Amino acid sequence: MSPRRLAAVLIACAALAGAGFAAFASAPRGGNRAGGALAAVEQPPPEPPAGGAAPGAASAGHATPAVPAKNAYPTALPDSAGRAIVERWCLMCHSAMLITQQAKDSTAWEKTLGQMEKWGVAPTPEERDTLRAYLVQCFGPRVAPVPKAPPPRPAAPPAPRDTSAAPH
Amino acid sequence: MRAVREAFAGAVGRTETDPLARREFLTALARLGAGSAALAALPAWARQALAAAAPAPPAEIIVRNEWPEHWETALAVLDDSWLTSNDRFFVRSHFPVPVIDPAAWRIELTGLVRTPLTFTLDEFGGLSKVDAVHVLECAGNGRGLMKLPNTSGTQWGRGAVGNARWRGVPLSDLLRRAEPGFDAKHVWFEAADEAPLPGVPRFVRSIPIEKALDDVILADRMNGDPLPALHGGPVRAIVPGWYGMASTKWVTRVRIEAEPSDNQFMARGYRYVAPGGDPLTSPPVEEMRVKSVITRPLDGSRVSLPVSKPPKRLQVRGAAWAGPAGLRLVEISSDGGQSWRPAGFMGDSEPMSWRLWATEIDVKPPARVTVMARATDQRGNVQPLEPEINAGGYGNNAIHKVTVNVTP
Repeated sequence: MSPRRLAAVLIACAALAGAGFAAFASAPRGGNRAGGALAAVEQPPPEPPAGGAAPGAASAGHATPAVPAKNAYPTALPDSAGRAIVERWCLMCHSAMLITQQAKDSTAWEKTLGQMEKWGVAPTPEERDTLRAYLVQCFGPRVAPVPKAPPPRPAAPPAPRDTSAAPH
Repeated sequence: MRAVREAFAGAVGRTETDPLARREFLTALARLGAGSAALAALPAWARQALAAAAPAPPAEIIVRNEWPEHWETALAVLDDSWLTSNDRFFVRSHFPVPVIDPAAWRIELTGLVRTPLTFTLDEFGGLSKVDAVHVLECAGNGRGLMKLPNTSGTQWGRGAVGNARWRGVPLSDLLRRAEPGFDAKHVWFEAADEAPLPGVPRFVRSIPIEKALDDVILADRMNGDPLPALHGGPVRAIVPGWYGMASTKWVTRVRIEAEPSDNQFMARGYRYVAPGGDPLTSPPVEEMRVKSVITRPLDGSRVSLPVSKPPKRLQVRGAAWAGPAGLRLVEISSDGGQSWRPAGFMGDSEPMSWRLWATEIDVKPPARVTVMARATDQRGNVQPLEPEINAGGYGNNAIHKVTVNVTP
């Protein structure tokens, strides 16, 4: 064990030794975005006037306005029965966002729980029931229609002339 | 108690300048044996301090998972230049960034070889290197756009892709030195990262030895800088033309074997599984599919085209890439796909890098116009209108459409 890792373990022990068993509050960072739709995180910045620049100038052209990093999904879990179990059993490996962006039915959540148990997550039977109900209730399946099978791929069009001098 | 709190606060303070400290702390907690109960036992002040001390992602990054980091690049950034800067390059990690002691770090090449090799960081730095620009795309890029009835994993948009200059040691050089045996068929990449829970399988990927001998590099530099830890430093594999999962980060051992790895992330993960199908018998996710993205104008934007003589045209541009087949062309349609005309490639290109493209279209403002871009590779594969659905949401290369309001 490296000195750095040893220090981290010692600090962790110290923190635990002093830890009260009070319920902890989740502390979301940055702006929570309600809704979770993809469109909301790809709001375009104002477009500069187009049409004036030649295509070849593109890579040297527009300065991109600095937009702060955005959280695509809520960082906090809904506050109902099951939240504490998620915090206890799930958040050591991944953040809440990996859960809050999901939409799954009961069977799919069951599959996820089975996978996590195989990897070492070990809730009590009561915790497991509560956890599954919480996940299905809060992050259940979409009501949108199931995507159709894709249409057959179109035939390849002929290759055009490459307008740049650079090789492929 | 006060002393403990101060000691802890000091450790958390360290994370402001040391992004790895928080992960190290969480990992250490998980390994104490108390497991997740240890985390749950932390008081509110400790949890809040931990959360507040997490490394802040840079501007123009869409955070799709806080830890491990799943960071997507905003499309507007991809429009900036041929090379994607290191701090804006998408990040996809399976586990926390490992804490690596440079003095103790070793990389070894072992398995079915006559001469096993081991290098320290200094020794690795002294090996003969090559430079190559390659595009990396996460296999799940576009998963969130598939709108699967049951989601799985991170719901990426279109920005889990980037193009960088990698510098490193050709894996073929090391393989020739090591002299693989006749039964050597596959190259396994083992890595330093691991999950806080010991029961989670390590991340291992393998590739056929033909690919390893062809163009794979063990990279220690990215866009001229030492490979950042978030991107797999000190050394990662770069497997050109394959989806990003093949380019294993934090590589510490290259194993030559007769069979492909049967690791979770080979045998069950990263497979094109039909809904309800069996991963074990489904095709593996390997080479990147041909794809293009429109980076200007962005979907939903408003573009001003002042009236002038001759009339100004709407500039459309983006990036396109393909797997080892190579990119053939990009075409644009502004009439719903009834007609297509080629865009022009711009600037630099290297094998299995991406290419920037641009074109201009006639628009009479005011108008609401939908532009579509589709790429074709040298084997004749064309981007489909709709994604090919698979349970894991991999390989979504459906045609990108943007709708723009054009005003005079």
